[in-house]
Amino acid sequence: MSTEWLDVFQNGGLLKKTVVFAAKADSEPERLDMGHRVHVRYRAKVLPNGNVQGPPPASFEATEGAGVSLLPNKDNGNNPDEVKGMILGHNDVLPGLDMGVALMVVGETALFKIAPKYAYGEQGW
Amino acid sequence: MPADASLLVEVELLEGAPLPDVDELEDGERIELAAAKKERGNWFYVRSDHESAVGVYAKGIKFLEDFPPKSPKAAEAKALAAKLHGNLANCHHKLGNDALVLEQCAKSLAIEPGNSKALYWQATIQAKRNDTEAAIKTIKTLLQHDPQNASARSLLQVSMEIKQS
Repeated sequence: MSTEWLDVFQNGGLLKKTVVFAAKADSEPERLDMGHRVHVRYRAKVLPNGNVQGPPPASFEATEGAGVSLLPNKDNGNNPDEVKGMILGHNDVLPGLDMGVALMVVGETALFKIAPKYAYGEQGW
Repeated sequence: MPADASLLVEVELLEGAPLPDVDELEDGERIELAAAKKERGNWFYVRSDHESAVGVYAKGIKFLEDFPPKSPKAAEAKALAAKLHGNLANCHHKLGNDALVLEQCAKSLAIEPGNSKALYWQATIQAKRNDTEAAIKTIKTLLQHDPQNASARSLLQVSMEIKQS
């Protein structure tokens, strides 16, 4: 079960879809905010050019693309699971992830499709 | 990472909580957070994104302000803060904010009087402002601390020639 894709900025630049919901808690899960410190486990792939304007992919596995590290100077295309601590709103990670993670709740797993302008832009690295 | 890459990222949010106030963090944690900001700032600097680097370095310094002077890690914190101010001076120089370069150099030197980057950027601005006497004095201080500094020696030579002309 998963949700529909959410077009965060209504411009196709940052899409979010929940793939695993957080376990039901007794109380409403605390919302994240700027300045919160979070830990995430993530894996990433570069979408082939043809996919950029195409429909959002169904799942991470079912999507064609090369595994890539989001941490510069670290080639871990073959070891894609990374855990990273970051402070929201601090520019610790690419903008799409900084803003996207702020929309999550603890325990949730989400897919993000991030356009270059919310990722590494024209430059790459 | 190729240019113009669209990414698909799967994220599991393991934990999240407000970051405690700086004075509630462990000393080691403050240094770790500040050091991470320095790394991140350097990354932006290498990409020539000096505005972002400034923002990130400044956040790093926040973690080191009012660091307990008796902490066993106080010396480490001072050295890191001096470096961060020196890097900020460098970025402001790239952005053409001379007044901010001098401000950051002064802050760096207040922490570590011999910080060679801060002395170098201070001398550079002094020379640029035709304050040749001050520039020469700054470079001589720098060379006392770091006699091998080649850029400082060439800046000294240029300043001496200007002074004599």
